[in-house]
Amino acid sequence: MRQFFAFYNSGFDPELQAQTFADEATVHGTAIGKPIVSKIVDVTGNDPDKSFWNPPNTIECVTVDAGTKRESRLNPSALPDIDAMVDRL
Amino acid sequence: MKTYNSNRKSNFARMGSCLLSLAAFSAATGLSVAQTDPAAFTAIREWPRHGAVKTIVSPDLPGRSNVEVDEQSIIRIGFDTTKMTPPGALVTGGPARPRVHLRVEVYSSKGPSRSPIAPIPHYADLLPAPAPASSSAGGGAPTTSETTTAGTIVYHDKYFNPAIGAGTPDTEFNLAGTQAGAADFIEIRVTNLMTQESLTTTLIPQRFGFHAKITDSLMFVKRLGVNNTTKTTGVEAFNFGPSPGVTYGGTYLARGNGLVRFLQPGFGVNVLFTKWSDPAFDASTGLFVAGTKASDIQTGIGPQVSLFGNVLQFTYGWNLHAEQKRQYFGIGVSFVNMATKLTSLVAK
Repeated sequence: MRQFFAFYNSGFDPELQAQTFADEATVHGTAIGKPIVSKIVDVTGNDPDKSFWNPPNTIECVTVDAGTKRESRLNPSALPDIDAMVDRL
Repeated sequence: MKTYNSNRKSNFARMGSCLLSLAAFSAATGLSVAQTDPAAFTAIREWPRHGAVKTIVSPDLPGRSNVEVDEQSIIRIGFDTTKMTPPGALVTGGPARPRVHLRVEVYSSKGPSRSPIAPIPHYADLLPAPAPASSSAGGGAPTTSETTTAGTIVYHDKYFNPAIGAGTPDTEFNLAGTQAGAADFIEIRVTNLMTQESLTTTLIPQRFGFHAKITDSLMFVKRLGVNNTTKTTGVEAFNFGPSPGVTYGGTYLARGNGLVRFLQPGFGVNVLFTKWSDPAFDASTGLFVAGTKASDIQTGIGPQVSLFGNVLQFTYGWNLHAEQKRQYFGIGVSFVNMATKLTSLVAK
């Protein structure tokens, strides 16, 4: 299973920005034939998927393939960055 | 799904086109155009506990520094996104990239030390130092690290890219009761990391208004109402003899009025110790002369006014132990405040 996580800190980062990254990964993955399960994770919580996060910085986008962390990008500045991560997954 | 994506991207393109048109319209009509320089879209304002909001820096007031602020105030930093350059392609046909990427840093300086202020909501956080590792070897008491760190500053730089929901939220920090309020000066630096353009402003926290303070005093007291006639009845004159004491009161530091600011007036209640029949206090040594008994010391009390931050003091009071002609007038100084003033003047 391909997964995409957008880790954000609800104390600092707009949730909308993380959600936009997650949506873009889902949309782009579907468009290129790579279905992806996307999720945003608030690093102030206790989500078990926080194990894929490299603290302390946010917003961090992470791709995971079959439970293995593939790629990480800190604070992407534009949607093509997300598309490129999904392309490489 | 790709159709949705394409539609969304075309919407972003239309939005970018509108922004460019707006910029062109603004340029044609003489209005402000979108810029990357933080000075063009950053406003720093002081929210005092009392009174109106004061603008320290804005696009209309650029480059101000060494601005005095009240140490009880809140400093708010705001960004006008309508004046920011929107994301654009770096090359023809390329993807839109942000042109504004903000970092907000605030430092407080006290003497030779300069330290960052955190947290700054949305922009800087202070991560606590990791807990010291404990030793389990030998089963003894856990050991602690000999050195401690204050923590790590983590900056949360913000892009301006509406297409991905990335904005530059306003932020603030409070001076009341913090190390920032007690600093010699505060430095605010807003940097666009994309262009390295920056806006730097320095603030000087001040204790405006009336502030209670306990001050030392050395009054030179003149007993009032003593003349040749009263002297024959056993009332002795006391002509500006030194009398140490203490003042419970405060001083007023004006913010706007230059004259009042210079005079720095104060008032309070002065309590002094004196000995009218035989001055027992030696001004040259700052001590009561040898052999002075507690019963020899008399206490006077009265209202006090002061100038120059309690350095120069005046009082009119009453000797609580005198049987007659107990009123006195005094003029004096506070050596502690005088030394503080001189030290600050020498430091400048």
